[in-house]
Amino acid sequence: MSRLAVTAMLLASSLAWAGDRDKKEKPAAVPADSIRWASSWEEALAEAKERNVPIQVAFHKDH
Amino acid sequence: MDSSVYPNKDVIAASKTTVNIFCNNETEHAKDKKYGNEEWCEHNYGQKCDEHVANHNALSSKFFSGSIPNPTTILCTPDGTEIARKKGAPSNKELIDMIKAAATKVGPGLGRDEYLFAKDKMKAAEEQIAAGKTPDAIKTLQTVTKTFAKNPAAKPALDAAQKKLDDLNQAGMDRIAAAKEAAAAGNVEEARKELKDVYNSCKGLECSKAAEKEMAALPKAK
Repeated sequence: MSRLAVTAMLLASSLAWAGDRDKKEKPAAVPADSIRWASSWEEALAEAKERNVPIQVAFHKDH
Repeated sequence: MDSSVYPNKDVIAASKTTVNIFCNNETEHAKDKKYGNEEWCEHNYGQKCDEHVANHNALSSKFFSGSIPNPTTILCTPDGTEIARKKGAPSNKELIDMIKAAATKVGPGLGRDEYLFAKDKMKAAEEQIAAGKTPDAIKTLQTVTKTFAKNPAAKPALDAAQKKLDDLNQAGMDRIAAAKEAAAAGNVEEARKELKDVYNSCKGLECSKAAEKEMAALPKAK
């Protein structure tokens, strides 16, 4: 394989990598509205007491 | 569930009638997902992964004695006592119905938007008081008292705003008393200046009217 062909392949792969990287780093849109999650149980208890509202506790796993 | 149920607009609306806490001790998802210029958990805008891991560690033994079926949704009273539980992923309607039933049992409660509104106004009023902007602080606090006058769920916010207004009024009354003493000691112009300042800076409070009355009672300036 000629030196020129190798250089072209390297250039193409690095451009593709850069493209993927840029795509991954593109920020998501800030949602117009969303569920607000309390940062801790203590914060949840204090706010629920102040507002006199129930607490929704959601347990999840990634998979 | 978090990718289909939680972004639903009706679920979001229902969630404003509760305080919500997310518990997940796994972080295989993106930890610092970019939303605009901010970085949050991939699943929950506005939350850091460290928080939902800590929540899981803090609450798993409170709500489970053995293994934890995931997902599980639990509704509690404001003191943390469990009132309803759903194992598995609820539909939007199931979750909304659970929240409504719990809110009815606990309420009347203050919605999230109203709570944040009151909180922002109270913070602004405190900053205005600290900066000596009493007229602005009075207007801000009166916005809170007028907005929530007929909302029994907003009593804590209403009481807090009224307490600050009462404190400002008392400070004005104290200044009037000091001005009257100054006038009695012969410092009439000093008293007049102080009373005029109370009158102007405390409009909307009783002390402003009292200052006006005391100004009228002072000997006329020569």
